[in-house]
Amino acid sequence: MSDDINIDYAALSNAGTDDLVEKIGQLRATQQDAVDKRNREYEFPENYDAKMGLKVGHVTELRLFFHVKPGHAEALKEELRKFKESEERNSKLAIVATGIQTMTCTLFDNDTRYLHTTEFDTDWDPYIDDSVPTEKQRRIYANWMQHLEEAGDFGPDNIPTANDIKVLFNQNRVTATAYLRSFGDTVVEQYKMKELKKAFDEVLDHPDAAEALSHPALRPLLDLASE
Amino acid sequence: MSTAEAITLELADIQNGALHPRPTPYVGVYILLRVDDPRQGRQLLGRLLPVVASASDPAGRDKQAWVTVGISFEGLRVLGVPEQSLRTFPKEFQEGMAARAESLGDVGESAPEHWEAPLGTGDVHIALSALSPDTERLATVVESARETYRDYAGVEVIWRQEVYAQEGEKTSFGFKDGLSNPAVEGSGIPGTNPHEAPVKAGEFLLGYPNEVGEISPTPQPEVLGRNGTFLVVRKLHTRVAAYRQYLRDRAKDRADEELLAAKMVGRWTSGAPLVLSPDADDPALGGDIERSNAFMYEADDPRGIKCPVGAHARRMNPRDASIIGVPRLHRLMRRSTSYGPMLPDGVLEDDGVDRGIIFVAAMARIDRQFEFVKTQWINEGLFFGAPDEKDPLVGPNSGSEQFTIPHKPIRRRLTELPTFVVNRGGEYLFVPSLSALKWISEL
Ligand code: HEM
Repeated sequence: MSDDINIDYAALSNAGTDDLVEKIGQLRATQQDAVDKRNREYEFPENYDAKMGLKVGHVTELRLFFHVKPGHAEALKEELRKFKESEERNSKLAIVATGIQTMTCTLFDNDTRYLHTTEFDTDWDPYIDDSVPTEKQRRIYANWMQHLEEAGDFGPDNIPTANDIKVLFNQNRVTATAYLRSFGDTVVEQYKMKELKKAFDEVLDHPDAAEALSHPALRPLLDLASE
Repeated sequence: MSTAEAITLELADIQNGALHPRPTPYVGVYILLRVDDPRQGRQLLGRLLPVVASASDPAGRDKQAWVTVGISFEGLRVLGVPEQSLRTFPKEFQEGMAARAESLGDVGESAPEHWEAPLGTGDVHIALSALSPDTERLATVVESARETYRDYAGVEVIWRQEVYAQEGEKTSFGFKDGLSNPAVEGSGIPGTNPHEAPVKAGEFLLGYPNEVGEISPTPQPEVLGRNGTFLVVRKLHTRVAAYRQYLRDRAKDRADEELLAAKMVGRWTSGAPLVLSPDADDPALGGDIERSNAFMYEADDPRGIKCPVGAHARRMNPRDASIIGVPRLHRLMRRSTSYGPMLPDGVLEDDGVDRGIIFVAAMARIDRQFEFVKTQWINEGLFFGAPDEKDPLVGPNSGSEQFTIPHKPIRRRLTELPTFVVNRGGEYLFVPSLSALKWISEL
């Protein structure tokens, strides 16, 4: 993509501003094709509407409704299982980075439609680029998207850009009418709570725990120690 | 796209101010112009062309002194940029900073109704900045800029702000600033952190691939957008006396005061980073540009025991720290300068003098860079796991917020944080390439 951007600066050094502008113009003219390719349109469609999901605490819901391409249901299911497995292998760092709490993949209406549901920390809109920052990640999306009507030609041979994904998701997104979660804590907060619970259990397992926890400063912990 | 591809930037077409670090030390001036006569405004841009240094010639006509030209959306319209072209500018730039105030958290005392005129009024059309290592050379470049507009009755100077480096390049709170900036791939200008790979040129310049392999939305036609960048400018007033008093009230002693201050920033006043020098300032390290930014967080200090995860500098560039999102997509090329005299050492009473920084940052996408950083990283702490903690130094705190300082054996916590930084106004500007300046001047 970038070899087209090379410009011979030796030819430009010592040029005055007018000369310079003209020479850059000439060099560019010879590279118009590449320039056009590079400038692939980056505009949101007129009807672009950055919908917000409902929130519980810091967690946001996202529901996407698609149509399955005829005859693609089984292939889609296969890709979705693979997608889930690849997400499952994420390190803690990657889990925190995506902020994803849940993801549910559902085919319905006799496998003609597809509902993609996720819940994640933060709002979706400002974080779209962060959620698919590398070509590798966008390829993983493309693998299952290729089976959806709305995704058109996108697929392993035509990987969507982050912006394509943003537009596609927003066009096929439906905000929930009601959203209930018992807890709205972030992934990081949940990790912290688990660590605390584990540490507290270790304290309670210590033979001298009762004595140690009897200090007035530890009163709130002692109150929790009986269960 | 693969990361191995080399990019050659069209340096000769890029304004030097968009890429090159400012001189150290520096003196400078920002001049804002309103264009009442579009024809004269365009002629002025034509005359500015030879005055503006390109990035391939940073020495310009006078070593290390240069002029940068920025144009607001209103300015582009007044100068006669066609409507169909104006529509290709990103939404946030079209709207301008004042219109985005609410979502940016510029509310209360930082709200546009309290801004210093003409910032945010729509009158700012062209902005000139002149920076130089000393007053003599500044006078020369300012004079050459003045030559370009003084004959025009239809172009009026509506604001001037002088800036200068304090001793040791410290900002009003007493900290050395401007130490860490990203390296831009292909620019040839080295970065300061050897552990961080250069950031893709498209994060800062329009027309080149960015970190996600896309070309950021580039105003059309090509000659107008390519090689340009966006500049976010904010006049940030600092409440130095209140800040000193706050620390005095919470610290055990003077040494602890310095430590708490450093914990809020992430560096000691000398610039020495807490990650490399956690227990005491190290002026030799602070003054050594080779070493003072050579660190990461996840590798050296994952839990923030040395540098709190909520410290200003760590929030503003989390490097490899574990956060929601990808830090490299939200980098800023800072070009900030200081204004106003220092509050004398030891003074805890406000003397009523205005002092602070003219925050200036270059980027390709205002929404994904400045606006993201301001709303997600300054106004909230969700991204690192403390949703209710705002930036302790520059955040819009209201007297009830807290700042957690990881510490062994027991963490410390500062509470009842007030506002230390107030926005006195700002603008979103487009810094066109030299060929774009010429194109506009010939409309
Ligand atoms: C009056 C307001 C501010 C003051 C006094 C201030 C001060 C500082 C200081 C002392 C540093 C550490 C030195 C350095 O790394 O260069 C720093 C770093 C930084 N600040 Fe600020 N700052 C202010 C506002 C802002 C704002 C509003 C933003 C962004 C919207 C910002 C973005 C940054 C960035 C990106 C860094 C570099 C972090 C790194 O790469 O490690 N600052 N600031």
